[in-house]
Amino acid sequence: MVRPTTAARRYAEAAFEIAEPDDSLDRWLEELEVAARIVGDEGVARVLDDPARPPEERDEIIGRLLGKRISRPTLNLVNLLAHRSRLELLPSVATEFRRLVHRRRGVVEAVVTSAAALTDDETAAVRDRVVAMTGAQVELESVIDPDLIGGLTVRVGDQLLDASVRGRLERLRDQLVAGTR
Amino acid sequence: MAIRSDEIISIIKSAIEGFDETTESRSVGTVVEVGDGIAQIYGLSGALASELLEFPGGVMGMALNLEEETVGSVILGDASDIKEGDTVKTTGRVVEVPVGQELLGRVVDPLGRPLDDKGAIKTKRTRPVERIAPGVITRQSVDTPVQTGIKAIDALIPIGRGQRELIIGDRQTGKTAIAIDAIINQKGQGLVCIYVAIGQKLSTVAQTVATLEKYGALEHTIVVVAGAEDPAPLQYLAPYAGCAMGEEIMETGVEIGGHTVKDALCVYDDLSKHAWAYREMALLLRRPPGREAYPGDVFYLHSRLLERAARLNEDNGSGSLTALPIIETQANDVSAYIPTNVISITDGQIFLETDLFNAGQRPALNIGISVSRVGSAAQTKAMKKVAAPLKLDLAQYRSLAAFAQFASDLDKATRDQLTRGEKLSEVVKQAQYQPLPVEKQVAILYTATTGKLDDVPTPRVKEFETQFYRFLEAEQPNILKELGETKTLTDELAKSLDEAIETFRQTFLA
Repeated sequence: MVRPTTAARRYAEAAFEIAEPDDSLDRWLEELEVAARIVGDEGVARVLDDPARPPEERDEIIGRLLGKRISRPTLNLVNLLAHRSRLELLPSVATEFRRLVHRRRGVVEAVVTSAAALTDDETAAVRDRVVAMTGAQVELESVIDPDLIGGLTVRVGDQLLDASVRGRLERLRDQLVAGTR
Repeated sequence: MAIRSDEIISIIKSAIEGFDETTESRSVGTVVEVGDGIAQIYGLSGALASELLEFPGGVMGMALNLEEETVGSVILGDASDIKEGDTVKTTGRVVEVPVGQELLGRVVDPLGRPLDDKGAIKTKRTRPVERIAPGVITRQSVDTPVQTGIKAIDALIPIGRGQRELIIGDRQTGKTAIAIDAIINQKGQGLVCIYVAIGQKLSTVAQTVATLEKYGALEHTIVVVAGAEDPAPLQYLAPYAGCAMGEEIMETGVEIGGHTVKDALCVYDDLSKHAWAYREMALLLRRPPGREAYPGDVFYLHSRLLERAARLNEDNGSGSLTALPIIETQANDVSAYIPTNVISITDGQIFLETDLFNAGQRPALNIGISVSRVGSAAQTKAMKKVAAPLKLDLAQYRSLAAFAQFASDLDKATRDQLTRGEKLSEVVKQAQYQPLPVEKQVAILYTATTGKLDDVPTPRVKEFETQFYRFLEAEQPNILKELGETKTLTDELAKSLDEAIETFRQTFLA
């Protein structure tokens, strides 16, 4: 997970304030994520970070890379970051922007980790439970981690619901160790 | 003790069968940065200040910097397996230590885990290491002495139960020795001692523990060790952990030899290293450095610890917690940052000096600048009686000492004063690990201050002292017994003591 710095949060908030009145939140989000992916690419980053390259040339590269894929306002943000030598913030800006959009729309992100792939029915059941618990729209992400042995864990924001076999075994171990003390 | 394996199996079986299968919900975060024993964790929105955090692999941490999005935490243990992206859970508990009876005679780390070979510590109670000091309503003034068994201290710089007396001096001046002597002297005195070793070599700590054991002082002592090889956070926690153990004794008490003991003595050896450990932590957590690179709250670091020393009033159980912090100075510089801080917090200080140590005065107390601001209220009547002339004579001796080389040109009164001072200085010298019961201290100081040592040659004063004790024990046990019990030097007692001294002098000087 990229750590959102305060600076990234400020850029994201500014972009959000531009995008919201235009009703173009979705387009912005999509474009920011595209741009973040391209700029975050190792090869591209190396070229753009090269201090020997004159700023005009860098602007041109950015224009060529992103010009056709993203609209003018988003490109402006990318150029602004480039001019301030803060292009490495772009992925965090995108993450932060997504968070702001979700917050505005009352969407919660939940990560479901299970030992084996969940069937559609199971996913739907988990979604229903999380919706009931949080009272919000839920965007569900599924991760498979065989280390859990069985069961699943659901992470909503900073809360982790642990119903995995591994978690239970760990708690059983703690209890047994505590009992012998 | 034979343990039946089927019994163990059945216990574990019932534990497994009765195991609660509910899911668990906890606040979590993700490690975004780790190094130097510090982890920055993204998330953990519900974390409390100084809450225990659980890293993968059972390593614990402590939440310190609570920021908007991240928590800065120190890792209490081996940080080598923690990596970026690890999930960290809150535990809902602030840092606590086990406390109570079971800890007596044990050597533990700052989290209360045993470091000796005496097995697990089965305490029933724990206490948070950090706590606000008791308020004025629950306190009363100091009125009972802590007998250190060191003549110079008990007579001139008396320490009361609940007092905070700083022991300060350069390296190798006998700071620890004073504290250890004081601990040894508490055997059978109804005072539990807690020795907190911070940032010391483990070999030194092992030696100290062996000394305590040798003199039978470990039974009433708890040793808390955060050695030099332990990470800074553990060294930072050690004095607070020791203090929490002491507070338990002050408030609840422990049983020693069938009596409930509610008095504790806490030695913090030493707070200079504690401040270093805290500075290390604070700098790694990117707190802004101040004077000598210590963080801004380094005064509060020590004041909140030492303020927890207290003498509780009767309504609150009459317990006490005495603090003996130790500070090591560099080249006798007491005006450095940490020494001035701790001097201003404590109720007096015992100054030890290299020059005096090398001149053979041991303990190397500088009597002129050592003070105890509250302890004299706690001194026994007998001790007060002999301490007053002792103080005066020594002060006069110091002001005249410069003239000592012109002895032949001085008038008789001055010469007498110089002689008296010389004998008194000799009497307050004392060997290590030989704390003296208060009645013997009174007896010898009475002898010296009444001038009965003036005609004993200075090199023979020590010999006089040891033989005098033996004489009193053998010939006049009643005097010592009465002094010890009544703690007062009545006129009749003084008279019989005078007679005893005279009898002894005749045989000694013959």
